Amino acid sequence: MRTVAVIPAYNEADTVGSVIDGTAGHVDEVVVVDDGSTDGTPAVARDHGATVVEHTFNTGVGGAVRTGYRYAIEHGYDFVVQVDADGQHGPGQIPDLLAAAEDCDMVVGSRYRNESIEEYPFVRRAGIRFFTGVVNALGGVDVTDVTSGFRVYRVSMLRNILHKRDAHWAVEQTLDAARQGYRIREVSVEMPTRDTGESQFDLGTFLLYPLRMTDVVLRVVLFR
Amino acid sequence: MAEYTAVNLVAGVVGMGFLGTGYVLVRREREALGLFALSVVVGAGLLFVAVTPDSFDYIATFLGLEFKTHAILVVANLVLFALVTYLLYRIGRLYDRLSRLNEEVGLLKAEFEDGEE
Repeated sequence: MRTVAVIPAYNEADTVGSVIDGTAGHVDEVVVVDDGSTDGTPAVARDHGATVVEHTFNTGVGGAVRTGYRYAIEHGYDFVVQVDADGQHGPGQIPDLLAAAEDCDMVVGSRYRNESIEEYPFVRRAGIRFFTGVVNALGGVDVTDVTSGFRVYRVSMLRNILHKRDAHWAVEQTLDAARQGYRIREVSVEMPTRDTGESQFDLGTFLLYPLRMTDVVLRVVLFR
Repeated sequence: MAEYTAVNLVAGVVGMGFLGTGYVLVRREREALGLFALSVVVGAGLLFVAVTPDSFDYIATFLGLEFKTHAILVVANLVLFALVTYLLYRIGRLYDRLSRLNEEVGLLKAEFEDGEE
């Protein structure tokens, strides 16, 4: 069973090194997809032994993870572990996710199955809950944290659900997989809010969040 | 006898501009024929308005509207709607292509670097 870790990164030079170090012991290869960083993230990633795929310009995390998925597909891996570069996802929990992936196609690390979700702002929690409810209702699944980026995918499934949009890929992919009948499981993971660097969740994201989410849900439900 | 005003002149110039720009962009291979078709529709419409000052009277009668100003409003809104929809579609498609290109370049660069080592 060959496994690759995909770490999408944008200006995460301070944290990406330790994430790579923690992840490398659990997988066969660590791939950092640098999404147009200007702070030397690719150099740090290379120093820590990761394969680096560099985007020419920033497209957003959805574009970066899709590049990572394509790398996994083209290099014949069996599983992809997706880990954030900001240190929010504890690499120590990767074995739990991989173990759960043995008999399913997608494993989502959920903050809602432990207390770590309580650290998040109320509005964000409400948004996650709402769209998780929408995905559950439309996809006939029972997940608790549809926007989590800490995931494991079976690559054979990934070929069929490569998301098209760069925004809100997690919702798109989960809903698409659910509607195609793929097996989705969740594992409880601690995911504290980030304490260094700059969050990607800014005011613009917050204001556009409902519109973009609705766009993604309608696309999957009506046009696929 | 309808009178020609500055509005007809402006409509004529803008119409010619649309036709010319559409032609040049396709001729330089920068745009698909679809854009030229759109330019012909909009440009020809404006030229028609330029040479027939009564055109909106006919359109108002055709649409069952009392005043030609209402006809102008309806036609202008429809044209704007079509143009904005087309441009949004084009922007979306270009963004998608750019994103795929970005992805492709990244993967090729990684493969190249891997081959060098």
